[in-house]
Amino acid sequence: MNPVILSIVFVAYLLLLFIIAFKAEGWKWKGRKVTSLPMVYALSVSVFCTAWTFYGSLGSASTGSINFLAVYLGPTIMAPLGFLFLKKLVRVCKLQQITSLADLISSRYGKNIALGSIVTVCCFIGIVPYLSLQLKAVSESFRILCGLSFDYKGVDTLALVISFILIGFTVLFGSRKTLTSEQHGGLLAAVAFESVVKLFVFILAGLVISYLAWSSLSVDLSANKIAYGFASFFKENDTKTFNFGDWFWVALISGFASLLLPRMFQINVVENDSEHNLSHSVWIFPFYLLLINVFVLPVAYAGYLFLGNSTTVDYTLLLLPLKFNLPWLAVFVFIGGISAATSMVVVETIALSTMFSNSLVIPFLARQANSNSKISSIGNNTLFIRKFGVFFTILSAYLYYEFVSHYTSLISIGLISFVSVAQFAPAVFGGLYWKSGNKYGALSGILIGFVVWFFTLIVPSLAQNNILSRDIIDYGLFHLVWLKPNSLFGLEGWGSIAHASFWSLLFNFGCYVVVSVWTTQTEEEKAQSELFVDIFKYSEVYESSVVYKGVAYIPDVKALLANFVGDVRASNLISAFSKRHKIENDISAKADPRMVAFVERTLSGIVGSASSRLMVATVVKEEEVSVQELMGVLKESQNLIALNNELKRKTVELNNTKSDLEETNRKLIQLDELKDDFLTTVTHELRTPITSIRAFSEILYDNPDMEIEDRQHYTNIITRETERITRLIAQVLDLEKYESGRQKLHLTRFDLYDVVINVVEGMQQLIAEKQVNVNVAEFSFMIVADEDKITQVLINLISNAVKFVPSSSGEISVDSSIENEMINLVVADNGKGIDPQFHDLIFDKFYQAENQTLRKPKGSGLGLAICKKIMLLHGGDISLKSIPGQGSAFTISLPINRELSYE
Amino acid sequence: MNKILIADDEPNILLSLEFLMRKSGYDVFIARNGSEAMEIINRDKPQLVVLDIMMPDIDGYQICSYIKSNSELADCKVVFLSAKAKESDIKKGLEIGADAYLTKPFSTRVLMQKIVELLK
Repeated sequence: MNPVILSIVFVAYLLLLFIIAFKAEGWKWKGRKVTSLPMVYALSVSVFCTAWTFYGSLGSASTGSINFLAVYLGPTIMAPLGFLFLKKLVRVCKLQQITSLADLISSRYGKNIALGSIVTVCCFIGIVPYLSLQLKAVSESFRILCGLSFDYKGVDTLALVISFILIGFTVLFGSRKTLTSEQHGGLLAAVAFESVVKLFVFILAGLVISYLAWSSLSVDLSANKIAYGFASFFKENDTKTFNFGDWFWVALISGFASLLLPRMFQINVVENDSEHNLSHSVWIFPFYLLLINVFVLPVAYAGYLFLGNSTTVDYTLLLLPLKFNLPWLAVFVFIGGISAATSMVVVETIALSTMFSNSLVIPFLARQANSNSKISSIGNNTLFIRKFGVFFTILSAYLYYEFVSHYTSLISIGLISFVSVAQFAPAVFGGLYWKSGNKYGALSGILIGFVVWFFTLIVPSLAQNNILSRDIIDYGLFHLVWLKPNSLFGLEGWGSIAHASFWSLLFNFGCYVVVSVWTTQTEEEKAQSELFVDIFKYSEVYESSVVYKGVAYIPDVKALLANFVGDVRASNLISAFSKRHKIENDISAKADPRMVAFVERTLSGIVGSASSRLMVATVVKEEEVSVQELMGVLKESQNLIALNNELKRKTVELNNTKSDLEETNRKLIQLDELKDDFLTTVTHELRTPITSIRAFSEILYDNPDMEIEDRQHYTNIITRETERITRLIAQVLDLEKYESGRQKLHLTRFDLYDVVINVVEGMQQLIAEKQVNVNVAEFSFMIVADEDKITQVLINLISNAVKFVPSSSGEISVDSSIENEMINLVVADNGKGIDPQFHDLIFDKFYQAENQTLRKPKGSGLGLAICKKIMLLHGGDISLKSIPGQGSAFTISLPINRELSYE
Repeated sequence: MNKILIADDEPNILLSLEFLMRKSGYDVFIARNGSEAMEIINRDKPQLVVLDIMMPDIDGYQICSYIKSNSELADCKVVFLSAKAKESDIKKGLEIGADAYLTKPFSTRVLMQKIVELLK
């Protein structure tokens, strides 16, 4: 392919990334800023997958069987635990304005400058080869596509050009703002975009290659042969049998790397604007790893079949499309590779340059700075220092690639980097979960871990290339057998990575714990360890807590801040903070301790915690704050919050009580209304007979000459109406008994049929007078109930029926059945029936409510209301079916199987 | 001879009122519920109606309103005779145009006096 065209594609793709990075902050999706979408964030976490993943997995699959999977298994297994760890880490870093791994470790262990510098240097040593691997990938993939030779002599100018392009790219992206704690939203969007591109390309290429390889194989090979070929591919490649130790250690350090690599820290913590994002990345990231690995084996097999044992197995993905004569696909793969490489280089370099400036250069300058003018010059140069950091980092990577990489094996550079980064694990995890871990422990652990790492992984490759004497490999350091770099203390049988991981982490962890236990912490360290380990306890009160003792003046503090953020911004920040915490913001005033702490945190975000501490010390006449004092302050704030919560709880309780009272009052009022309704009903019922009595009494009095028959008729009416009153009074009293719950049942066991027969016989005279036909069906149900009450109900129902059926043609039937565990007894008549609007009302004692002007049918009185009470008390019910003009059927129901012991 | 309608759902009250009216020489019509009452009012156009309020189908208020809004029945007087004895009930009855409102139990003498007055 024409190098010019490819260069244009390369530059065009980078331009596209520029556009995304610069425009993305303005983009919206469903009303949300694209750069703060959880999905965009989660995709950017996939910056974990570099060119090493993109090309290297295939190389590894083609030479070392499926061991490469451990690199992705580790982060996947670690994801749930990592989620908890990252949540805490993000909280700590956001509160303390920590912006890099070095700053994190330095800050946790008493804002120690030496520790930050050492972490930075170690990171550089560990990561620069990894960066150079990306340069190599871009440069070599370019060469392959253009058909250029690998065996160039002298300087690889292509790689140099690429390095400078990347320097420019990174400077534009990452070091435009001084406040590192501010997210680079555009960067996040570009990285997420590149993640999509590399996944898309890998899957596309995987599908196409698998399809083509399969169809060309099927033509001249039987299925058996294919299967046989596949088996031999594995057999041939699987020179080392599966080794659990290798898998375990590679998975473990990969898991650590997915949390601790500077670029992962940058994305997980610095670029992360919300802890909530983590709950998305916790599953999207492992899922991404799974997807990007799906086609590794099929493609590696296709490479084995079609490319043979090539020296360029790493570029199988690029070579196969060329072999199949699909240049467009090769260009896609090339772009996927650039995506993987550039996103890694940019993010990693930003992270390293932050460490370079904040943990290495600025602390060195700050230590010398004893006046504001010197600090001011640091402020003016912060951006420059960071840009220089970018330049220095990428150039180092280039130089490494150019001058060192030829002597060392590149195959496992990624894993060697992982092991180096894993050396920070004890200090970081210990720092977040173990209060007694201290700076001596961290320092000695990291140092010894690195020494072991260097000795077991770097020394052998130097010796193999004759930079060091080969004697070290064969006979051990100083000819001591137990100091052989590949089998330290005689440990054999593991791969070099597992071997190195085991020893370095063992020494590292051991030193960290033992030294921490043996030595003591400074007050500042104690305070920080309390804060880090119990961050969720303190995070609410942290900002408003006083962490300073000593005297400072607002103008000094403001001037200090202005050096780094400018005058206007400094004034704004300080006045906003004083407003938020209602503290004085007067030119001549002493700065509130909280404000000093705030300024220190803000500066931490720009120059790192150690430098920030040094600079603030220049304006504050400070006395050391003891951990007891600090904890006292924090606890006081916490108590205030607890008190506040208690008050809130009390208020809620009061409100609940209030609504309870209101509810009770409402119920009482309702009861009162019901009582009123009842009284109205009763008085109304009483008025009717009294009216008749009075009317007839007056008539009898005023008409002494009345016929004797009329006289007798009217007196008789008076007597009957008196009886009606008596009955009504008895019913009211009866009902009241049920209402108040004083009515008890006297349960006995008897046959319902017998009761019906007794009632009908008792009414025989009435029935005969009206010539009504009463049919009682044959049945027998033993029930447990109050016999007198059931008798009362039946008398009421049957006598009502007799009253309302027409004389001589009246028909009444009584029948019983069982349905749904209930015994039903139906009293049906062929009377005039009851209008449906009264069907519910008829059992209600309050039928005469306030605004009611319609009257329920005569004769029912309170009798049916009492029947209903009786049935309910038995656990049964009473209901009515009636069609006006055709008759009514009252049904009483009783539960069966009631035990006698109920009483 | 003046025609009087008595509408009530209580047979004993009807009986006593019928006796009283006949004795005073009126032509008496009886209704045991609201719809019977409406029928008689429309057919016989009585000069006076003694109305109970609470009846099973059509209540007394509705019947009174009907009478008072019908020009053909302009001469018809209405006397409520009800157990509803609250002031609000009485007020409502008079507002919709009743000529008198007596509560149960009532004095036969006061009632007859009222009827004589109204039919004068």
